[in-house]
Amino acid sequence: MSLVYQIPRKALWWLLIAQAAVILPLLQHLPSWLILVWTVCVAWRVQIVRGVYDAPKAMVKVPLALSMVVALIMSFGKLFALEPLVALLLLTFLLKLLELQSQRDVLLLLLLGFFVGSTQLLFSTSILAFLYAVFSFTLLLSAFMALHTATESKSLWQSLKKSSLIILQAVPLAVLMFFIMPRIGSLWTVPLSSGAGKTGFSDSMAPGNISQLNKDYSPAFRVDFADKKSPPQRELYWRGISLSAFDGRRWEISPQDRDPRHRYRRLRQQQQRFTQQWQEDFTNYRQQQGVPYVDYELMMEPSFQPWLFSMATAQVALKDVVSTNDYLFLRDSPVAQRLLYRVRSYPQFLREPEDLSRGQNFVNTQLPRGFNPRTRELVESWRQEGSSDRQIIARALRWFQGEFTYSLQDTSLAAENPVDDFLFNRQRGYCEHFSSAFVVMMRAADIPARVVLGYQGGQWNDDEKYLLVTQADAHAWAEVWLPDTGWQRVDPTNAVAPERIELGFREYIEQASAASETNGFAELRQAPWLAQMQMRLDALNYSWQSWVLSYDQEQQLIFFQKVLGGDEHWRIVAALMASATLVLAILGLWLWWRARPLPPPPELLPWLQLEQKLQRAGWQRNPAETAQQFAERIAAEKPELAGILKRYTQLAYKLLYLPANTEQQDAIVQQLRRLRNSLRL
Amino acid sequence: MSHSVLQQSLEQLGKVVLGKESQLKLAMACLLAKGHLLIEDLPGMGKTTLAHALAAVLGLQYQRVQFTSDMLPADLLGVSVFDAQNSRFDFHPGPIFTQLLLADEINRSTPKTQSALLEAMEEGQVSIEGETRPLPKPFFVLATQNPVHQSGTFPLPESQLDRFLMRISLGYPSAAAERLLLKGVNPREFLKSLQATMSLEQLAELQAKASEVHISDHVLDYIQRLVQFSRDYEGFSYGISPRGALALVSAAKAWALVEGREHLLPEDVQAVMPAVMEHRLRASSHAAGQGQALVDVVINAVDVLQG
Repeated sequence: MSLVYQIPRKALWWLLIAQAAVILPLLQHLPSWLILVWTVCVAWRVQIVRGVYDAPKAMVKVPLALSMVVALIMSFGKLFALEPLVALLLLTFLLKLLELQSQRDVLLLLLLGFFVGSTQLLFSTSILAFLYAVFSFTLLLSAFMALHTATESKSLWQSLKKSSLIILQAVPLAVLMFFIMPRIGSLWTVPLSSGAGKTGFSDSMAPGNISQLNKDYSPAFRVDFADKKSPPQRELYWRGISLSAFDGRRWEISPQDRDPRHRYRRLRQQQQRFTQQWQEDFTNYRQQQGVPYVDYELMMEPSFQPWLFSMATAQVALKDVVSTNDYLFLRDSPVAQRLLYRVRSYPQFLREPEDLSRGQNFVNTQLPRGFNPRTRELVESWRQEGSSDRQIIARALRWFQGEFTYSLQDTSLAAENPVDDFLFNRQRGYCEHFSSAFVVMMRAADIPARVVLGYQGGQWNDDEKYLLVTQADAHAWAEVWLPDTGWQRVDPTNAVAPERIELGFREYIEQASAASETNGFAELRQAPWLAQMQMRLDALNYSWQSWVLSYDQEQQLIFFQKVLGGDEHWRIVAALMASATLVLAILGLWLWWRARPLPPPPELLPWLQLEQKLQRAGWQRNPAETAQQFAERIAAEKPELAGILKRYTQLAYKLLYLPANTEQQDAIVQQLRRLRNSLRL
Repeated sequence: MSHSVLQQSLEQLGKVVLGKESQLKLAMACLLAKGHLLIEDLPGMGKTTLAHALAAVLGLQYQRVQFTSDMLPADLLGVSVFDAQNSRFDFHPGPIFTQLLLADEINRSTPKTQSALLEAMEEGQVSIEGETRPLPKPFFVLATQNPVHQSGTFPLPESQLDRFLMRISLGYPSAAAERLLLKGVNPREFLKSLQATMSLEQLAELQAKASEVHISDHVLDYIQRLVQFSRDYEGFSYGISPRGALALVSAAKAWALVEGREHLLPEDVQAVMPAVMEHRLRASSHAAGQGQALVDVVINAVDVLQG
C-alpha cells in the first residue's frame, strides 16, 4: 500500500479560509447553489483528512464534474458569457478540493485561487474591491506559507504574519510596475458583465419607470467642473435622450431611431457627407466672442446604454460618438465600462430658433387619435379663448400649481386614458406623470413638444469638489419649441414641487418625508450618517478612479514626459534602475544603521587615539593583546619608547579599569593628550 | 596586610612545590574565590603534595580520601552504626567532614560516589539517611584526577566538572626544580615544618575582599564578549553558561587580589581563563582540538578593548 499524501493541517486551514474569502464577493453575481457545492467539498476534504472518507474515485469525479457544468448551463442558459465562465472557474477551484493527492495539487489549487480572486475585479473596480482582492491574496499566500513551512511554523498566525510581510514588501515593486509597465491595451476581450437586472436608464418612459430608479443611490456619473464650482441646482439638467413617439401611454424614441446602432451609422454617414444646418448654427455660435460656457469632465458609470449625458447645449470631445439633431450624443456601442469624457456646455445657445423642419414638426406634435379626449378638449378650449403658445404653457403650469401633488404613492393610472385620469382625477404623481401630461397638452395645442429623460441635480461633494449624480436623481421633463426661442426646457415638476429642483432629490426627500407621511418619500430617506458615509466612500472611489483606474497609455505618456522628460526606452530603463538602486540604497542604509558600530566610550578614546598613532607608524595591536602587553611588545623593540608608553598605559588603565573618579578623569585625559603629543615615532 | 599574608603563604608553598608559581597562585585564587579545585595530571607530579601544603599553610583541617572503583558513598559520607549498649544508632562521620578534602583520583570511583560529592560541593552540606548535616566551614574540595584516557577511569560528566571553579594541571617540573629533587632534597620534609600563615578569620576576610575587587564596565564588556563568542562560535558544541561566566568573574577577581590589586584588569581575566574555561568547553569535532587550544581560540578572537 502506498502512502497517501496528506495536506498539512495548517495549510488546509488557510486554504479553506482563503477559499471562503475568494468566494464571498462572487456570490452576488453567481448562483447560490455554488455555496452548497463548496460546503460539500469542504466537508468531504475534512473527512478525508480525518481519515473517515476516501478520496473520490474517477467514477465519482467525472460524473460530478460533468453534472456541475450542466447545472451551470441550466442556471445561466448559456455558457459563453462572463458570469457562467467565472462560475466555471470557481467550480474548478471548489472541486479541486476533492483531489489533493500531492503537494503539486495543492499548489495548483492555490494558484487557481489567485485567478478566481482576480475575477471579482471584473464585476467591480472600486477601491473596496481592490483592497478586498489584496486581502484575499494575503490569505492565499498564508496558505502557501503554511504549506511550505508546515514543520517549522508553530502557530496559525505565523503564516499570516509572513504573508502580510511579503505583500508589504511587494508594494514598492507594485507601485513601480504600475507607473512603468507598458499599457498595451487589452490582449483579449473578456465578455463583460451584461448588466442584466441592474436598474438604470431605459429608452422609453411609462408611468412608474423613474420612481423605480429613485430607490437606487448607486452612482450614475460624476462631474468634475473645470472651475471646481457647481452651477446652481436648478440649472443641472443632465439630458440623456428625448422621446417623441407617444402611443397614449408610453413614450418612446421615434420609430426610425429606435435601433441605436443603425441610428449611429446613419448619423455618421449623414454628417460625413455634409454638415447639417443645426450643426452649422452651433458651430457659428461657438465661434462668437464672449459666449458663456461651462467646462466639465464627466465620468460615467456603466449604463449599458449608448447615450451620453450632458447639459444643454453641449459639445462632447470623444471618438465613436455622434451628436443627434436634438443635441444629444449617441455612442456606437453601449457604455459597458466606466467612460470619461470632456464636455463644454453653452447654456444660452438657442436651439433651432428659426424654423423647425416639417419632419420634426410632425413628429413632435403627433398624438394618437382617440386617446385622452378630456385633455384635448381642455387645451382646445384654451386655444379658442385666444391664448397664444406662451399663454397656454403658462396656463398649463399654473394649473399644475393649483391642485396637484408631487408624490410617489398611489400613482397608478387608468389604462384607457392615463393622461385624462391623471389630470382630472388623480392629480398626484411623479415627474414622469407631469412631463408626460404636459407634453400631451402642448401637442394638443399644436405646440411641438417632447419628453426628455435624464438626471436632475446631484450632490456636491465639498471635500473633493465634484458632483455626484446617482440613479435616484433620474428625472423627466419637457422641451417645447417656440418660434424665435427654439427648443426650450419646461419642467412641470418645478411648477408642482419647486423644492425638488432647488434642493436636489436627496435634500428634498429629507424635507418632504418630514412634512408628510403619505407621499411615499419616507422610505427613500437615509440616515444622515449613512448618507455622510456614502459620500465619503464615493469620494474615495472617485479619487481611486481618477488617479489609478484612469491611468492609461495616454496618462502614462504624460507621466513619462513630466517625470522623465520623454518616453524613450532608455529613459524608462534608467528610471527603473535608478529606482531599484534607490530602494536598495535605502535598504542598505537601514541595514548599516542597524549594525552600525557604537561610538567608543570616552574613557577608551585616548587609548584608541594612541593606537591610531602607533598604527600609522606600523604597530598593530593583536585583538588578544591587552594595552599593557602591546606597550611592552613595542618597548621590547624600541626601548627608547618604553618609559613614555609605560606611563601612558598606566594612565589609560586608570581611566579604564579603576573606579571612576570624575574629578581626576579630565586631568588624566589632558595628561594623556600631552603624552601622546610628545610621543615621537 | 592582606597582600603580605598572601605573599608569605605563596612563599611557603613555593618551598614545597618547586617551580610552579603560577599554579600555586591559581590554586590560591581558587580558594579565595570559594571555589573547588580540580587538578588533572599524571601520577607522581606532586598533586598530593600541593594539597597537603595548601592545607598546612592555610591552617585548615585536612582529610584525604583515595577514590577507588569499589568505593561507596557511605565510605565518603559516613555511616550510622548500631550501638547495642545504648540501643541506638550512632553516626560515624566520614572523611568528608573536614575543611579541606583531598579527593585523590576522583575519576577512579563510580559515578554514584562521584555524585555523593556533588551535593557536598554545591550546598556545603550532606544528606545521610534522610538527615541533612552541615559541613564545616570553610569547605574546599581539592580533587585530583588522572587523564581521562587512562584505563580504569570514569570520566566526570559535564555537570560535575562545572562544579569545579578551576581545573589546572601541574605539568613536569622545570629542569632546575627536578635537579633539586633528584639531588635528594625532599620537599615533603618541609611539609612538617610548614606553619599556618593565616587564621580562619584572615581567610574569611580575604575571601570577602576578593569578592569586593572593583570591576569596571570595560572589563565586564570584555568578559561578555568572551562568553558571547564561546556561544556563537561554530567550533564549540556549546558555549559558556551563565554559571561559567560568573566563575570567570570571581576567579579573575581573586586572581587580582593575589596579584595585589583591588581592581580587575583584562590581564587577570586572561590569566585565569584557561583554568576556568578549559573544562567548560567542548569542541564540536575532534579536529578542533581540546583543552588549552580551545581557550586560545576564544582569547585570540576576542578584542580586549573593543567590541
